[in-house]
Amino acid sequence: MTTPVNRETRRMRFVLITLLLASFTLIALDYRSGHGSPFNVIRRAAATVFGPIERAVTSAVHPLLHFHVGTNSSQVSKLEQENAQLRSQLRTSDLARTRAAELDRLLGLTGDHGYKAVPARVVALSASSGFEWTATIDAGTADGIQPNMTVISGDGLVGRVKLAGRSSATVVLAIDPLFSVGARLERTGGVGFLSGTGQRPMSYTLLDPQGDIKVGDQLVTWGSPGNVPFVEGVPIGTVVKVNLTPGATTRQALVKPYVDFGALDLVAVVIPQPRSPRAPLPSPSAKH
Amino acid sequence: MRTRFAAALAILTALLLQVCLLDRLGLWGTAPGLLLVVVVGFALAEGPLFGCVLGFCAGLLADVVPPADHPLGWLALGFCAAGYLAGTFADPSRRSAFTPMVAVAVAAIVTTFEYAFVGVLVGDPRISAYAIARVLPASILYDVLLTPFVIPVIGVLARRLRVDHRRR
Repeated sequence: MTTPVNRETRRMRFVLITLLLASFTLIALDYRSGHGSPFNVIRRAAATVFGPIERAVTSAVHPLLHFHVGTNSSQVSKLEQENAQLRSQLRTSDLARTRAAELDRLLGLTGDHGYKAVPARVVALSASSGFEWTATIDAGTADGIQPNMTVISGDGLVGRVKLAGRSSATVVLAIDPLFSVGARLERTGGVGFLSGTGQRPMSYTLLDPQGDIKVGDQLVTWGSPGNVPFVEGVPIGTVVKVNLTPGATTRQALVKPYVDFGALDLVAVVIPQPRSPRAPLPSPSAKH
Repeated sequence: MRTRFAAALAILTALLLQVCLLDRLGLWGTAPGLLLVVVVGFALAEGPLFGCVLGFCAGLLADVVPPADHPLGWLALGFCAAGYLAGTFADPSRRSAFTPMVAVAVAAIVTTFEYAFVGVLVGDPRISAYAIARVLPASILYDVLLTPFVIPVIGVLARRLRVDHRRR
C-alpha cells in the first residue's frame, strides 16, 4: 500500500535518477561525437539567439563603455575613420583615450602585415570560470567569421574562433588548456608549440633541445597552412622562465602573454585572404 | 506554475549576469556562481523535486549559452544533484540562519567536484589538480558571500507566489 509520502519519494527519486542519467548520456554523446556533434546545431542556434542578448546585457552593465564598434564594418579604413572621429571629439575622458589607443595598436598590428580584420567586442566569458577559458564576441558569420580563425587584440594573440553563429562567435582564449599554437622565437627563429595552462603562464615547448632560448625572448605565431587557424607573425608573449631538463628531447619554458585576459574588450578576427597564385618561371624563348 | 515561470526567468537572468558581468571581474580562482545560488534559493523554498528539475534546466542552459565550449550535460549533471541536495535542506523545522549558507557551500562543493570528476572520466586536459585547488575554495567563498544578497529575495518571492496561488 503506497501512502502519499512514499509515492512522493518514489516520484522524487525517479525524476532525479532520470535527469542524472539523461545528463550522463548527453555528456557521453556530445563528447564522443567531437567536432561533428549533432549538438553543435543547438550551440550555433544558441549563439545566434543569445549573442545579441549578451551584447545588450554587456552594454547595459558597463554604462561607462559608450563606444560601439559597428559589427558590419569589415574595412580597416572604416576603423581609421572612426578612430579619427574619436580623436576629434571633445571628449577627453580616459576611456575614449584608451579606446583610441587600443584601435591604434590594432591598426598597427593589422596594417603592418596587410591582414583583413573584423573588429568585435568581447561580450561574455565562460560560465565554467576557472576551468574553461572562452569568450563570446559580437561578430559572426554575417560578418565573414568562420570557425578556426585567429583572434587578436592590439596587444597580441587572443585566441581562435571555435564556433560561429550568425552575429556572435565563441572564441577559445590562448590561456585555455585546450589551446595550442605553433610559435617561433623572434630572436633566433627557433620553433615550438605553445599551449595554455589556465591562470598560470603559458607553457612553451621548444623543439630543439639544444636551442637558444633566454628569459625575455619574444614569441610570435608561426602560422598555419592557408592561415587557418593561425596567421603568421602575431605577437604572443615573452619568456619568463626556462626549465633546465638535461637529456630531454625538447626544452620547456614559461611564457607570459602580452594580452591581459582579465581585461579583454576590443578584439579583431583575422580573415585569411586568398593567396594570389605565383607566376611561373618564363619558358626559354629559343626553341630546340 | 507561476513559481516555475519566475524560476525560469530568474535562472536566465542569473546566467546572463554571470557571463556578462561576474565572469569578467577577473577575480582569483573563479567567478561568483550567481546561477548556482539562485538554484539553491529556489530549492530551499520549494523542495528537492523542484530543486533538481530547476538545477537540470539551469545547468543545461549554462551548457548551451555561449561561450560554453564543453559537452552538453556537464553542468546539468552537477546542478541537478546540487539542486536536489539543497532541496533536502528545505525542511522548515530544521532551518537556522546558517542553513542557506550551508546549502550553498554544499552545492558549490558538489558542482565543482562533479565537474572535475566528469573531466577526469573523459580525460579533459582542462581539469587539473591545480585548477581544482584554485576553483574549489574560491567558488565556496564567493557563492557563500552572494547568499545573503540573493537567497532571502528568492525566499520572499517564492513565498509570495505560493500565497497568491493558494488564495485563488
